[in-house]
Amino acid sequence: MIESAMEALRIVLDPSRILFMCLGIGLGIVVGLLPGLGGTVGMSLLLPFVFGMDPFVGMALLIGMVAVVHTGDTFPSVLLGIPGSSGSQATIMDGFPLAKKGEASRAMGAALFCSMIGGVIGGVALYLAIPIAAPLITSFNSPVLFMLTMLGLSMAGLLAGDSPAKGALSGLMGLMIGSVGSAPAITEYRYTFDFLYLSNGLSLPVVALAIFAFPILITMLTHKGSVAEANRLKGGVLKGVGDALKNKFLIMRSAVLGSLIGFIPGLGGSVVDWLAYGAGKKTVRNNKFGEGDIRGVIAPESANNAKEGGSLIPTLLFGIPGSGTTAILLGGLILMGLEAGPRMLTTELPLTLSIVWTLVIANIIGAILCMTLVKPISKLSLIPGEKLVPFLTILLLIGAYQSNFAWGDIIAFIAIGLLGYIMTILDWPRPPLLIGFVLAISAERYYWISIERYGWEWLSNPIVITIGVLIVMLLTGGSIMKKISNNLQREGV
Amino acid sequence: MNKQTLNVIFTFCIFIVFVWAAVTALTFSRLAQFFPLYVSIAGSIVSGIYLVKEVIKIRKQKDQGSHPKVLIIKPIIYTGWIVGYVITISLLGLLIASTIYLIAFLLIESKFTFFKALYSTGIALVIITVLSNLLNIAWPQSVLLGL
Repeated sequence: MIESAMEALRIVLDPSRILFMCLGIGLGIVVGLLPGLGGTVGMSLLLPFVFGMDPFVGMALLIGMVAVVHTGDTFPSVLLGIPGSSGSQATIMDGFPLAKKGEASRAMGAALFCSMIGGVIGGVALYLAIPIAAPLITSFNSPVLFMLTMLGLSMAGLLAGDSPAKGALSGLMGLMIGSVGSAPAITEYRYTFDFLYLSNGLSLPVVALAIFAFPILITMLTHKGSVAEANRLKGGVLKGVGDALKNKFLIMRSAVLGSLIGFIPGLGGSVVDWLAYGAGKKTVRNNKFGEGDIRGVIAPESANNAKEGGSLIPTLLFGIPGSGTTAILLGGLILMGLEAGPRMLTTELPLTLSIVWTLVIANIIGAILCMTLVKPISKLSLIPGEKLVPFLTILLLIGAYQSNFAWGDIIAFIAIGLLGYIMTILDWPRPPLLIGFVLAISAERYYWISIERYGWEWLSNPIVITIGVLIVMLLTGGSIMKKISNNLQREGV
Repeated sequence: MNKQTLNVIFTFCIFIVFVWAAVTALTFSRLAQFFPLYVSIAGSIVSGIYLVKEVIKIRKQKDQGSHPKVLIIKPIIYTGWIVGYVITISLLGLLIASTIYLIAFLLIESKFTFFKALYSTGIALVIITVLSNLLNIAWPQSVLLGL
């Protein structure tokens, strides 16, 4: 295996392949930078070009692009509080408050360094998983997937802030919005008001942009200031890298979590950053997550790049795409005359290993490239809102339109955006709404399959019970520990 | 407007939406109904309890000084800019609408000089066009002109 890996490295380092990888990296960064676009759009753009291409070159192009989308998407998330793609939503929670303090470069430095390390760990996870993937993937049945969805939903509780009721309502609103459109169990449309646009439900980029970006547009105008309230930039990229190095165990934990979540087909990569953020919030001591804590940037950024390695495991080895991006990647394989499946471990092993190397190298090149761009791009946070917003509005409306190429995207962007704005001014937490929305369909689908297939017996599944206990521990652990600590303080221990 | 009052109005609206969603869910078939029904019932209960608690809280605090206010007029004006821009796109297409929107906004709200507004708009339109062509990005089409 090591010999094959070295041989694959030699193939990847061929100048023509490196050139195509760099082309993919360039496109991936641009796609990440532009709000509303994501890996799926990047893949769709490249797909026509890989037809009949040498698989090593084609994969260098495709994987080079997909590897760095979550590196480039850090810029809008940190600097403007707008998710660059669905995987960088949680980065906003602390990245944007840091930008407001004038520490955008520091947040970017930490985020890019963690993206790089996370991406490398994701590549290593893919390499290590090759021999053991089969039994693991087959052990994820619908009850386990349902419980994993519930684990994701429990993060909404962790992100509720000071008011659990507002957090719960926000999550429930997300679930409700997520249930608009066709039911997964039967051909029936719900809450569509006979609008054709709503029959497929609302799309994630539209909801994410509306709930986070629209309130930013209005707030920047009403407050008449720049993002950086300090009006000067403090801290540099290297300070952020130093912060990341100080939190190496958090990077490791989050990256491993990201790989594992990416590994589970159907759970949805959009929730991985929230899971890492929630886990970080629970495990990091004396944290001020949500107020501009650099560790709140480190956790999701380590996880979202690591996810890509994990999500390639079921895609390549079993032909099970875990997301839209990996579904298009499967199409790309077919266009190059290949087929995902066990052959990727035997006759096509060099190609699989070249993908691992591309993932690792692309993450390193992408992060270094982005680090050189941090200083000039960070100055965006100093531009007054009234000068920046009109241009952002155009960008966001075009970005929202890319979901379905329908006017409904723009109308939904404004309608949900207004909801997001009201939530913002009334201090209602918005992340639970997005988590609820992301997981609504998975929760419904896996619950329905579990009940239809296993009745109530699935509740006795040991993995289900373990995840259930983990959810209870996550939700109650913090308050129990707080109570114990308060009691000890009162007793003077 | 008083923030607390607005919070109560918003919660009441959410409560009404959840109740309506629960009632509507009853009209769906069994397999389509269970998820929205569970969620909307949970939402109705939580929003109902929260609403009652907030109303009681407001009554208790009625005579305890002033409450923070929220801006109403300005956000409506700025939302109006965005809605107006969208309507203009639907009538005249993205490029013409963006030109009108950018020049008007930059002159009125950003207090740019005419020439500064003009070349900022020009640069923005060039970037939009180049990026759209390079990345094959689709634009919202004008309903009237088909642009």
